[in-house]
Amino acid sequence: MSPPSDDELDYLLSRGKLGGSQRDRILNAALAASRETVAAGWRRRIAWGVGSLAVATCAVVLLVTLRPFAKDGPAGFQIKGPGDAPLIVLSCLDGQLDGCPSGSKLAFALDGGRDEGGFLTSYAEPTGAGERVWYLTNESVDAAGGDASLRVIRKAALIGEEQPPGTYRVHAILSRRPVARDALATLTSADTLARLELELVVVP
Amino acid sequence: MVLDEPGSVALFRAGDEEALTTVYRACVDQVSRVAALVLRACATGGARTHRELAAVLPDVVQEVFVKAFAPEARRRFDASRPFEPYLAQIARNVAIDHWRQLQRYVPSDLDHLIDRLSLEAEPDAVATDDFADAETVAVVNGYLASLDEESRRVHDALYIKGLSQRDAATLLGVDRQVVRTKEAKLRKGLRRALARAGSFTTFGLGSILSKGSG
Repeated sequence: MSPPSDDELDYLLSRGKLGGSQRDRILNAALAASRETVAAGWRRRIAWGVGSLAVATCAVVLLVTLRPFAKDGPAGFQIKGPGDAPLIVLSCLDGQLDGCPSGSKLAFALDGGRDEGGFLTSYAEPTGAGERVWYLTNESVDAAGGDASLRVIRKAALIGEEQPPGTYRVHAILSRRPVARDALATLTSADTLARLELELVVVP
Repeated sequence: MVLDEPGSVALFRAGDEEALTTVYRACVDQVSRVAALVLRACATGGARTHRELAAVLPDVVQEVFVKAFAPEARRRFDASRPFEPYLAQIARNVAIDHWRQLQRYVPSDLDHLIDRLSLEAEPDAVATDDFADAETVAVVNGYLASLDEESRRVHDALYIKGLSQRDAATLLGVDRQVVRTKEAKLRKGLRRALARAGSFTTFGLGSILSKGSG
């Protein structure tokens, strides 16, 4: 059995409730979500790249980042340069993305970037019939370190019974502020730091 | 009751952070209670464990406040109705939504059970020994009983009172770094206690990730 996460330890230490740090984290996320977004109107640039999780060479994924141009946006959202946005990296810890066994863990990380952190949300859509499966919801991500090293997201996703074998499109969105799940579709480019979309094949 | 002070609704609708923080602090316990109750009701008789509940609960609570504090939701809020039941209803829906995504479906009899749950449950309703399986609860109780006085005070501030690190530091009259360090030690200590009890093997995410490159 895997070791308990900090969230699980906090749950146990508070005897089934939320710890003070969790409450603080949630408050910050809720306050960030409460702020009005700046009107869009920014241009969008799609940048394609290839990245990998440095400590887990078992997977190489196709990455799509979505960034606004600096000169069109208000000062508060200006991007300093093309290297500011991180690349989202996804890895199947017990296999390959084109053959990830049920029960495996999916690890997320951010590679590079000079961003000030944000919130990572990820889900998988079956290519055939079936329901959307949520992996992460507004998982808080720290600001990039000075050395732009890999930032591994502390919460991994388990491919459980709710995700039967098949082909899925995995989406991951790094947003500046927390976004309710049903508002993801209307997330503006100004609020989007990076995006990832790739194919995942779950095998028995 | 929250939002019953003159002008408080206007400040809430305007997104005043102090007003939102006041609402959050007044309601977070209720929201987490409702979320935990609904998630446990959904888990009744199932194979799901406290580990999944622990992983989902903060996400659910966060989603509730993200929804409730979103600009459009604040503007739509009907101030003629009390805020707490409105928030409890969001908590119930979000918790069921999260559980459905874990389980794929919630049987209809569970829907009925959830409907009957009091959305204003007493605070102690959740603070019982049913937050995990009996073996885990015994480990947690034993670990907490073994804490020294200083650790116990930090635990009380962070995990019983639910204070932030900063507020806990103020309450205890120590530097915030001291609280942060103690919090890390509390987690580490419990992790070790669970490992000794055989609840899991001790390896970290780093070694999990490294397995992939081997």
